[in-house]
Amino acid sequence: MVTRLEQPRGGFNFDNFQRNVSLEQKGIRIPKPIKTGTTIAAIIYKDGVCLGADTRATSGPIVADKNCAKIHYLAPNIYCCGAGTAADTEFTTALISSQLELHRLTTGRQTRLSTARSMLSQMLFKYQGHVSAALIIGGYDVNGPNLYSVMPHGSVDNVPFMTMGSGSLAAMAVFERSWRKDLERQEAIDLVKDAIDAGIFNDLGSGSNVDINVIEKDKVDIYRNYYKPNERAPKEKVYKFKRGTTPILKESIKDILVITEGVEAMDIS
Amino acid sequence: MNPVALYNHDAPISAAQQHQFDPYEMNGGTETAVLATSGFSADGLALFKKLSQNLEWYKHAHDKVMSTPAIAQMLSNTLYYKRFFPYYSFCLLGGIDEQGRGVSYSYDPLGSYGAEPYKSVGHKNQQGVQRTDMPLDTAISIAKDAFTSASERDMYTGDYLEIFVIKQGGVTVERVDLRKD
Repeated sequence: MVTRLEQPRGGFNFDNFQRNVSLEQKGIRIPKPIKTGTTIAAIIYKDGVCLGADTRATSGPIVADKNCAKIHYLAPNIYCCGAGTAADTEFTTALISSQLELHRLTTGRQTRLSTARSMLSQMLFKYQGHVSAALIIGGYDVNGPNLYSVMPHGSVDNVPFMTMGSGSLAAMAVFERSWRKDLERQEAIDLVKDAIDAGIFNDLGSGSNVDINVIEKDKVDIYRNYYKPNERAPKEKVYKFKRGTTPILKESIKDILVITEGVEAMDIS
Repeated sequence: MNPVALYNHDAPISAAQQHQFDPYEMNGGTETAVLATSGFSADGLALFKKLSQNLEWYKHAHDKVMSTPAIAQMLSNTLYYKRFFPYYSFCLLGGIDEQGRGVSYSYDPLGSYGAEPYKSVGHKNQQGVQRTDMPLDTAISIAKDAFTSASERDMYTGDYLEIFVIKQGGVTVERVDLRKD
């Protein structure tokens, strides 16, 4: 008899949905995903691209991480800013970067931005927007410096400057005010820093520090925490509890010693 | 918005953290009581306005200022009057009572209230404070630390902190910087 193997089907599997509903009714809390209320921004300048991101990750109104990294590696010449659900941006970029590495090994050529863009947009489209990743891809390839934005449903845009995330309006306002064609490197870095800064201070979902990435021909500079405008104020008092604050109610100490002597015969029955 | 009230026997302090609006201080005529609210700011403002007006009418009718415990009861009644369309306000009232001792009261939006030795309401952070008398500067330091800590982890807490110190001599206000992001 021939057994036919079921081909795994693409897309989400909703088998556990009913189970989760009944678990929730029985009072089990379903864990909430961390959303990165975010400001990410990027521009093309004279000889490269500059990417920027804030470093706050939030879970509801709580700041889950004060200094997370939102600029992800895709290829040696391509990096990617991610906004949306933290896990989704993290895992989609990791998955695509792995596929790009294999692609480079088979083709023996430098990865092009358009390749990365297509792979990401096709994956996001397949998941119909359920994978919440809003991305800005920046890099330098045979076509020179380039910038792409990919929306969670898979739509793509090729632009000279772009912002995304909850702080995108504040950041875009800065770009619309000051962006020019063919900026110098330092001008570009300053402009991206100002855009992220606007997000940090005017959007509650964004905060802490500014990360900057600069990609030029055969050259990548990573400035992690390029600017730190929100250092914690020192506490005025010390809140350490003295040793013995928690009383010991009872104490029992057991000596556990396992002694095995000789060689056990192998079970060959 | 995140108010905190602490007191020792000499002076209670009440701190209202300010995000984008002014806090709603209430020293209408008495100079011995302060109200801090969090929740829906327009309701907090309306409530403060109503209380101030009642305090003024009381003064005209009886030719004396209302005592802090009486203000506390009045606030409770005012809140419960709107039981089925409540003020969306979490109130903290701090002041000096008729014996000259510091008192602070906390409320739920419907008017349930009680006197509390120390209390913080709002989004986050009920930092442990020793339940003993403490010097004023210690109380202020703790209030500051509570807010600098809260603003580290709560999105809605930040920008500035205003600390109100109420003594028999009057009310003083101190403005402290918090994280601006």
